[in-house]
Amino acid sequence: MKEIAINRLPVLTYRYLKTNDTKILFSAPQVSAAADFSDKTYVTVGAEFPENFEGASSETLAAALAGEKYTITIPSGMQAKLTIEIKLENQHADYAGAYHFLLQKGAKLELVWKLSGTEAAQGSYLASYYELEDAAELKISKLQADLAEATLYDQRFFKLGKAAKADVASAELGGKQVIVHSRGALNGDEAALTERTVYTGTGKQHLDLFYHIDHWGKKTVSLIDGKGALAGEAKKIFRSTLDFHRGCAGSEGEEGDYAIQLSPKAKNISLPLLLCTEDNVAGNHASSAGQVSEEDVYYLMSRGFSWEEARRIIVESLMRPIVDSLETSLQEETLEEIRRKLDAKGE
Amino acid sequence: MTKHEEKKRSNIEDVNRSIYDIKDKVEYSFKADTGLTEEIIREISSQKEEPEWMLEKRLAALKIYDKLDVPPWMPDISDLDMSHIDTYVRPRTDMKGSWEELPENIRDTFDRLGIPEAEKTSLAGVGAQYDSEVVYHNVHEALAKQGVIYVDFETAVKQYEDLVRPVFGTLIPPSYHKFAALHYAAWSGGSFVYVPKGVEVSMPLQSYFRLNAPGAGQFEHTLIIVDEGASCHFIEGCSAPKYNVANLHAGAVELFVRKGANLRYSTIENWSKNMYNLNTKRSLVEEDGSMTWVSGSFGSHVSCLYPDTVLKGDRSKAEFTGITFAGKGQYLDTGSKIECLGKETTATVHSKSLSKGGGTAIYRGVVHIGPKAQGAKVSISCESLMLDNESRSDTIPDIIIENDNIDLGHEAKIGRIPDENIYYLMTRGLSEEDAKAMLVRGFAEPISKELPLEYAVEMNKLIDLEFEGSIG
Repeated sequence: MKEIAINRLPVLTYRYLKTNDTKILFSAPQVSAAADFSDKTYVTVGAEFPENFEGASSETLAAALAGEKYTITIPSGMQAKLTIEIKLENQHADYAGAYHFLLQKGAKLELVWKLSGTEAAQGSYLASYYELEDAAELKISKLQADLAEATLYDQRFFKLGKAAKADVASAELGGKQVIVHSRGALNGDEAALTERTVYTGTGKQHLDLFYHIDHWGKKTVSLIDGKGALAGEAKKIFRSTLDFHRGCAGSEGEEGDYAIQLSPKAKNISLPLLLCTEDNVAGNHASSAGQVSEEDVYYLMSRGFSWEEARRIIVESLMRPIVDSLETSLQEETLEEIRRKLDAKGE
Repeated sequence: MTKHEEKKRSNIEDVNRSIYDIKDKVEYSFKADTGLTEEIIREISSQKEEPEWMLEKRLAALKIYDKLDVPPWMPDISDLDMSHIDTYVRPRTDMKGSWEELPENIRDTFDRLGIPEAEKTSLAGVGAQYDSEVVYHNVHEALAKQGVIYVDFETAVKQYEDLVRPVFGTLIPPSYHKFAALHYAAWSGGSFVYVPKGVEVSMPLQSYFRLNAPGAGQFEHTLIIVDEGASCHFIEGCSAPKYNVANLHAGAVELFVRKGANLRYSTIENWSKNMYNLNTKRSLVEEDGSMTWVSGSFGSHVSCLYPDTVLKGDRSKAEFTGITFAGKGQYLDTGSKIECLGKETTATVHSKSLSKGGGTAIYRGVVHIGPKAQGAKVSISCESLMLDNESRSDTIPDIIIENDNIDLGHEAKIGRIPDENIYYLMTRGLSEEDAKAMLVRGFAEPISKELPLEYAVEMNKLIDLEFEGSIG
């Protein structure tokens, strides 16, 4: 194991706060599981990745690239659905894999990622590069649960052509250390990328979430939306950046991070950056953190709910819009997992 | 007016800098060698005939300065070479208690800046620093009778050692960062204010810092103690004429707000565009105390300024209201820090910035709610207005929460004047430039109304001139 720095901010701030990046102990994957595809029509083994594909760190990206590699090409004008499931069972305690998705002009893909497994699992090292040509559309739903002792790296990069659209909805519910590194380049005019995440931090979970979207094309649209609850001694760091580059006139971007604090020992760090060199844009950030509102709890209890039920309803209501944007088959499972974690109070 | 004239843009650096840009003949009674060495520090201390403990602090700070690096997140200051900075320039006068006694050129400078006139009409006391030393200091007799102390910092070190020595350098220690260490090694001038228990200073006190010497540094130290239940408003102004060599300002402001006390600290920074303004300000607020910052940053080539409020006492409060206007050739990295340590503390941050002509305006903020700060409530609002697409505007907040009983809200917006708003005003008969100027004034208004009146007027003039003839 060695100490590495991950998820470094694109522009730095004060060192004494120790939030410019996160230092973690890194170990390379040992025994690798295999991914399970629902359909291999468009899947080929092997993949190449551009040099500008940056992961959470060079070490974590290299670990993913050292595993199995696939290229998924959706031909121009085609529509496809694909589920990729990774199960980390006792005999396959790690996973390492890298994926290159190419959606040719006008292609559409609905992609579901499912990551689950037992407490014996050690880690998952995932890297995916999404290249969307003009007018291509990508919808990703991701559910990650269980894996109580695992470190989970999910590193993704989106390159969007003209009028291409990518919509990502993730439920980051499991794992001991959850590291997400998502970067998007809105190169084409009118390209759009949304990154929505729900999370529940319990026990000593560490969530390290990094999102960075570059606006290059005109009239591009971005959304980064994180909603979650923190219980026990969980720690969450939410680094998000919207970067409006000169020339991206007419672009709009929003980023938000809303966290409910359920424990006095939970730690919540948020760094929502707005970087701008173009005047004709609208960039907004809103974040809030706090307890479950006493008035809301009181109201629900006056309608017959117990304190626990009232609290759960309020937390769920915060997360529900993102849960509802997941692929239908994942929604109930995600809600059940959120309820299970909140009912356990995470302490 | 010709079409060419109609299209001519008024640049921010054209705006009313004439008052500030008048250079006096450079005269001094003593000037230390350029650079920062132990010999220079000893010489400054010797010139001031200060106590041994202060020299020891200076020398310890110098060692820290040599050890620390320039923080990697800072703007580029590679053109600032400490070996070429005049660390200490003593003007050709000692401190006076009346303006008439000052040498004519210095008196004229402060006359042009309107300081003596402001003293007559609306201030309870004035300190005026010229280069490295305070040349004028006066406080209303009634305040002095109430026990209010308002003196230059050199006098405070000698006459009020019992008040100064226990707290000097404790709130901003030399290890705070490299330029804090520089400050403690080279400090000269500044003000000391002590407001006794229960005394309300109804009219503001003002210190004005004028740097005339090219290539010089100014390192004034301001220390204010507002004792239990007392209140005070302190105004700090600063300016310098523009030179082709770098000037440096590395002051430090330490503010102690005791139980139930109130302090309002207003700053208008209007340094010239060759100035590196690396200033440090920090306030410690005790139980039920209240700290209000009002900050306007208009000048400097590079500015790094982040007033820090430590809400140590239960139910203590902080409010920060700031505006930054970055024009051509300016990199203004400003913001605020809030540290909630006590229970039921509250803080409001309201920051606005404008950037144009290739200027860079950065908002860099910190909110840290500690594990014991139960019941903390913090609200932050940052708005950035880009007036063209040559400029840069970034918002870099850092929010750290370590307990569950808190309420935090943070909002940030970045963009330009909405076309719909301009269109609406034009349908009501305004020209495009008038509409834009009105909207920018409206954007700045929540901040400008908090500024001392003469500075608010100055800021509105600046906005008007900015838009004059800009639409062709």
